Amino acid sequence: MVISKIEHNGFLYFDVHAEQSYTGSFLADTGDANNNICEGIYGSELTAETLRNITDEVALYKGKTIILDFSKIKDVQSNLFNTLIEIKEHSELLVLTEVSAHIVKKCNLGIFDQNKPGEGGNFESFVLSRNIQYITLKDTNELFYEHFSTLLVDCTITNEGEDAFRHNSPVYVPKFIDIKGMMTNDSNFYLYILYRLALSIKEKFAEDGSGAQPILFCQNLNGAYNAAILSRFLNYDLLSMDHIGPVNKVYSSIGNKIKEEARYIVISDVVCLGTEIKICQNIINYSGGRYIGNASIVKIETLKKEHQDNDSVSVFKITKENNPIEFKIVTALA
Amino acid sequence: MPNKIIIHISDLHVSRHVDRNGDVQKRIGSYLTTQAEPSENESYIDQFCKFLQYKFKDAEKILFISGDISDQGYPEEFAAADVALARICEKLSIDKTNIVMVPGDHDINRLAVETAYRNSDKKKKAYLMNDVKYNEYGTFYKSFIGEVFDPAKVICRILAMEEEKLLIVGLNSNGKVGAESANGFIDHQLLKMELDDIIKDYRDYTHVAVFHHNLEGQYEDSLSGQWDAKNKVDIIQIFEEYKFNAVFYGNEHTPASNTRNQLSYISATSFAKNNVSPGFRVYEINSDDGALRLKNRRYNLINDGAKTGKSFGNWSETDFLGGNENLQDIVLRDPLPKEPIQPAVDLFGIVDSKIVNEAVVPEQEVESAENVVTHGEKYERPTAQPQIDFSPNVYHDKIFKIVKENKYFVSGHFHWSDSSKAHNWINVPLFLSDRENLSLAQKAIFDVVQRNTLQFDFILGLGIEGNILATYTASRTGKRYSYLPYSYRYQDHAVYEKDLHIENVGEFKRILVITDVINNGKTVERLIEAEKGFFKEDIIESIDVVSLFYTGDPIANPLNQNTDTRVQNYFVSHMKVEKCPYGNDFRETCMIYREKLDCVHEFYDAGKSSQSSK
Repeated sequence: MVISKIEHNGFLYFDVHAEQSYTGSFLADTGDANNNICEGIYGSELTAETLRNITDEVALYKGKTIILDFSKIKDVQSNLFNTLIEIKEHSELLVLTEVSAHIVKKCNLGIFDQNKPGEGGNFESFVLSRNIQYITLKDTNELFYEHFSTLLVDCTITNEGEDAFRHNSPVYVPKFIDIKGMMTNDSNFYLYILYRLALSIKEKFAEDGSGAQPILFCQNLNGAYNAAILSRFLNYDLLSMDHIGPVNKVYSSIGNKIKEEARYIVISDVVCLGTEIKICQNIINYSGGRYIGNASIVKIETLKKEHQDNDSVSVFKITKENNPIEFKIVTALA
Repeated sequence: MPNKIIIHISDLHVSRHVDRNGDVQKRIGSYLTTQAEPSENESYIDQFCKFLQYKFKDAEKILFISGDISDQGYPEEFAAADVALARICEKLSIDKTNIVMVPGDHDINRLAVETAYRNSDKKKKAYLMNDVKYNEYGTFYKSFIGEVFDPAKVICRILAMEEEKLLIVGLNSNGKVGAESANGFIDHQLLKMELDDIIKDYRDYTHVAVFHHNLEGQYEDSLSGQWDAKNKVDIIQIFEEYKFNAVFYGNEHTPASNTRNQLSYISATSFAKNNVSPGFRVYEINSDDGALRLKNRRYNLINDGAKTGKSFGNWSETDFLGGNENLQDIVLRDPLPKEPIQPAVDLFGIVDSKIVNEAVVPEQEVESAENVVTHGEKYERPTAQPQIDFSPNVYHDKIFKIVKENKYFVSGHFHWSDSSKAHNWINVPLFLSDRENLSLAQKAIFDVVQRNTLQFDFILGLGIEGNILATYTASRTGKRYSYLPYSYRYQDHAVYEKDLHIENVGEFKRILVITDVINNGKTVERLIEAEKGFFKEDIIESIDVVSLFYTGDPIANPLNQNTDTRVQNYFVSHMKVEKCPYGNDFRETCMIYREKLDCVHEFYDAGKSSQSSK
């Protein structure tokens, strides 16, 4: 199983570090009860198991150009040459992108000597072919957001009339972003979405000088799913709080679970007006913890840039300029 | 080449070659018959022995014969069986003491029982007329084994393998077979008494049982096997209580090997029936490092129709994995620990029988534990004598220790609803809030799935904690996944949270449900009821439920007792919680609640009906 595969115009793109993170988080553990193995997103060495997973996936296709994006991969396990050649044989063409000279050498790929390194000796793209090939690659970020947008549109539900009423906020929202639908429709790609969210969380919240890792805080089923996966990718603790959401319930035992001075990130599915985030923030701070921000799959930017809080990360932002689902918020005044 | 093997044959159905008129039958159901001349019995047996000698020449051989040796219990059938089995023992050098043979329902001469009953005063049921019932089988048993068969006992044979510390118990499952055919039945109280009497001499042995009737079925809708449904629950509980690790049987003429809740179920096909593919099993015994494993090999007759060979074909090993057959290795005991394990004391002060080390636990402590056990706190009842038990449940031990040390098992009045309230609660959210614990728990769930070789094509995480636990198994296996809140909390959740988002049009037949706590199984029953559209009766073949904790009472209200459903429950760790014993007037009668003696948690608005949030 792979998580980052995106098919586009006869090309199959794989994010090798995402695949390595999936292997390291979910497959590498041997089942020894005394030893938990979870490398998460921190591993930067490509293992044979990960490349084998990619190979098995590629073998399901014929005649595709395979793009393996090696960004964030700093080393590889020994003896991967044969597996790479196997991928090459299953494909029309095999291209490694953002690959270092060290990896090329370690994989014994020097025979493909028509590839020329860029500045610093690394390869922006490395084609496993003895002939010079001219191909145009799509930007992988752009590709990801295109794929995400398609899934988002497919999983947006239109709520007319009374159904548009949101019980936890005093507004009407005619479009419902069905995050659970995204997960169930394409669970592998959804893991990739969470991998990317994990990278953003690490970049924004990881360091505060204390050395203590933040704790992921969730309060509904979608948030719990996201937080459980993120917990493995990030190696962060996780606290579930059942169930603040639609009915705004706060149970009496709630304060017992918050650690004093610990830093909490609220994990959510969609942040719209931020009502639930505010509730979580209040609970965390009131109980002695420190709310440091929130992370979501989709964030609706309802405010102008200068008024936005700088405490959130999300995979996808819906803004005035970027609104593929025509999301809008309505009040009875409109 | 293994030093020792167990050969398992079953359902020989040695059949009369003439009908009741004395005419030779046109078609006989078994390759083994009463026909003297010409007889194929010898060549059938010789080919079988030659094959085994070729495969396992130097191995010491033990023989299981799990019933239905004859077809109708006639003396001439037993006479022919006696000759055939004696030939096997001679050719394979099997000592009679190394044979575990049990009767099957076809070993009862039902015609004779019916006649005896008709001529009796009818005060005794036909199936209790043991003298007539076992007359022919007893004669055969004496002739073949050389001992007297005692029909009054349910344990009809034991074989203790000292070197391997393996106790094999042969059981008579014909309790209700008389003038009529009947499902398997063993008087469970009698079985307990006889086991108490025998097992005290074999405390440090691993236990397995051999009997005839299939405890699990591969054809019946209920999967309850051909066994009396109520009696089956009692018998399985006894197997759990006396720590049996595997059961071997026949009857269904269908090979199968599976594990449920640490008990392996091994079914052998018929050895000689010619309307199925005849077969037998060989279990290679491996007891290195204190471990005890049986390499499970299966052989069948392959008939290619060639005129140059025997008409019945040739024996050949059969590869298997999947479907009914899922155990290539039958693990009876894990390796000895390299270092002594410290004793652990559970929440009730009971020395945990799973990790007791004889050298460090005074007998008195264990006896005092026994007193508590009678209240049913422990699923695996400690015995009066301390013993080393190598049941593979490292995860339970670790999780139990974490719960104990961090005081995650709490007391008070915990109010889920007016009809569901308890005086203990396991604080699972807090337990899972440490990523090491979370990882351990997720792996423990996956370990249960693997050890029991659960087959599934869809995973459902139940409740927030169940969802958190299930993500690992879902991500690791790549199976389709979704999650739902507990059905009794549907009111608390947004409309899209309580939608599975996946329609079941027949794609998902075997469902794995993962949750944090299971008590009496009702929650899953409610789930199935609430999600009828997904759990369609005509589609779903099995619903396996794996929970981190089982908090119910296994004696008063055991799991898996409803044999009419496809639901099987599995769990990592058993920690029983005490229910609040008071009724609707608990606010006055429950002192903890009334006086606030301990913490009182009203999780779901006690006394109020939930209000719809959407």
